[in-house]
Amino acid sequence: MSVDINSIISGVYNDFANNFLAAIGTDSKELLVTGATYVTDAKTSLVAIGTAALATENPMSWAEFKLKLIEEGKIAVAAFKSVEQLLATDVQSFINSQIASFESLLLGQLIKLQPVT
Amino acid sequence: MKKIIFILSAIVVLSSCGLFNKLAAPKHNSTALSLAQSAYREDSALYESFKILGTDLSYSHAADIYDVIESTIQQKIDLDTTRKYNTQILSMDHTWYNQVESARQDHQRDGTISVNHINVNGALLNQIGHIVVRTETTYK
Repeated sequence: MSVDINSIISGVYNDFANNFLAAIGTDSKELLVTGATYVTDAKTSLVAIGTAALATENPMSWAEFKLKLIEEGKIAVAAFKSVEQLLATDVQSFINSQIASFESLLLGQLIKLQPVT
Repeated sequence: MKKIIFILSAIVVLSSCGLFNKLAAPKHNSTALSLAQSAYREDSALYESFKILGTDLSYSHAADIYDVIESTIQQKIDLDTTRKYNTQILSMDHTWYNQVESARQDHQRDGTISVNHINVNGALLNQIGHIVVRTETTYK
């Protein structure tokens, strides 16, 4: 049986590379949207805290300003944990789909190489 | 040939299991998402009403609403305690609960809520609520 190894290898590589890069692109876009949302909300909170501290009438006390900044810090930590979880869930589904895709490509080519009985 | 395929598959599966232990996240849970959305709606509605009514709303009129929001978040905490890989989401839940409690105490001290607390606590509650809802939405 004549086997065109180069054609098989480049076929597997091209298909896998295209699937792999497309999946990374999709997950990266989701992560960027999430990050941008969290950053926008954090800015709104910080502006509100700053405005309250600098108000001409009944400004927030120094002690309360510090307390609200600490609370904002705790919420920022929650945002980092959320991104960590998003990465984890993306990595799980990403790896599962990539393993399945790669195995399918590889097995498809290996089956073609099996001698006909 | 079959042996090679089997060995390759085994290596891939074993190596990926090791990775999952380090990077695991809970699975999507529609009840947890629904509880997060309810609490987010409730605290958003409360602070939006303050913006409309101004500083006239006394703590005694809002106390029941704070109770409802805290109860909803507590239900979520109870549910999340039973989920796998829950360290991060439980931490986010507790941050949210504590933030609602802090806002409640500020309002209670004010008597009728101050403009500073409407703006600052409203923004902080929106921020943490949004984080938890989005996190639950993105679990796969």
